[in-house]
Amino acid sequence: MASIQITGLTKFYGKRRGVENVSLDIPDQEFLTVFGPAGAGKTTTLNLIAGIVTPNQGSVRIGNRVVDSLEPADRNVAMVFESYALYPQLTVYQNMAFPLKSPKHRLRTEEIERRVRHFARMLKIDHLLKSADPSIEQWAKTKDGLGSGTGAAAGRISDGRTAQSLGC
Amino acid sequence: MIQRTHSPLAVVGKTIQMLLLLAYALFALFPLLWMVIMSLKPDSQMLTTTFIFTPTLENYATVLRSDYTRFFFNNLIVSVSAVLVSLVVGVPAAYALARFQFKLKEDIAFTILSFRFAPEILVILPLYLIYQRLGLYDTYLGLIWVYQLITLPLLIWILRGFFEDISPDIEAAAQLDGYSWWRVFLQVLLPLVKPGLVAAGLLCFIFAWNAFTFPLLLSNNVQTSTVIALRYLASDTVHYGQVAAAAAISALPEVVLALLIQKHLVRGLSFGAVKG
Repeated sequence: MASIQITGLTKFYGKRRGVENVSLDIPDQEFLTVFGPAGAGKTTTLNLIAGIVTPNQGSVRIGNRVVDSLEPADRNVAMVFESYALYPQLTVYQNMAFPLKSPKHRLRTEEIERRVRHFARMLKIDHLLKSADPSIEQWAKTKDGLGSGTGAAAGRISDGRTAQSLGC
Repeated sequence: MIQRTHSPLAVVGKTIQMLLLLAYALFALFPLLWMVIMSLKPDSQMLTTTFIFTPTLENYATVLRSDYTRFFFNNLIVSVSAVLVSLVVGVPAAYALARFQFKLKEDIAFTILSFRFAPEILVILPLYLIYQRLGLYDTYLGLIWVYQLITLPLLIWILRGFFEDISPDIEAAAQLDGYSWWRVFLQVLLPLVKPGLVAAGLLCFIFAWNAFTFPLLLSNNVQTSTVIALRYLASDTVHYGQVAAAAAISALPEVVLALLIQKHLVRGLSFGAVKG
């Protein structure tokens, strides 16, 4: 994992303020939970760290590296979305394999198969791999397992309905 | 196991429902049925009989012996090309209207939709003059381009709803996974809007295929089958049977297409309507 420092992060969506002048220092190995009412800026803060949205001002460092100019895929962050963000047109196997097939990883087919089956067994969902419509609990486990298992992610972010968690 | 009991009232209600649906189906399909009946009647029995007559294929033979197939293929070329152009231009436009925030976004969206408000006859005169000046009169390109007034607004508005129904988290997740925006669009988003693409594409094809005013006034040799049926209205008599046969042949591709992909059509048109 790695430390995360955010300094003076500000994000406006048009005239609507997402976050303003947010600074936070999260040491390595710390598990942080952020609480707040709806509209407080929790999801915006996570999206800024992950690089999904670009800040109007401020800076993000992951492991002492400034990542402001890096694409989301290059920040080495794993994120679990509130809506799970599963690909509904794909089977469970294809969902798990999809990130591993990306240009970022460039893994061979055999390695992809090995990793998917390894994590499916670990999560006890190997019997669902061919399923195109598993229950939501298994899907959530799938995504959580991916977030922590595929390579050495510097940070793991989970955006839940009641709390956001930054796992470093 | 739960056992459902049907009360007599529910059965009566269901029966009335089915009868009303059947009546509406007959009402909606009757013009098509009447057209087919007319196409099978000889001229001599056209006005003297209704449902009892001596069927003949002579009307179809007369139409097909003429150069009707040339105009049928003109219609096919122009309609399919118009839909393809609309897909290439309209899909990214629908995505932009669904996802991006920019000035005058809703005004632009409404302007695109407003192209469907005006009847074609309203704009045909200036269009005729412009087409004459630009050399687009009586060309395939000219018809394909003007058909965008018919197909593009419809396609953009249907697909906008589909794109809005896809959670932005899916795109963000794919970008975090290492995919570029283009690959996310092609590999993730397009498969998700496939029902909408099929429904919108088919509807656009039907509207383009049925276009009458534009090909009537903006072309001469590049005529379509919808217009060419008029020539059976001769100066001495009206060959109703041949008009009906030409119209029946012209309607065939749409009917076959709709029957083949009706599941996609129903799913595509209803999918984007259910929220939550």
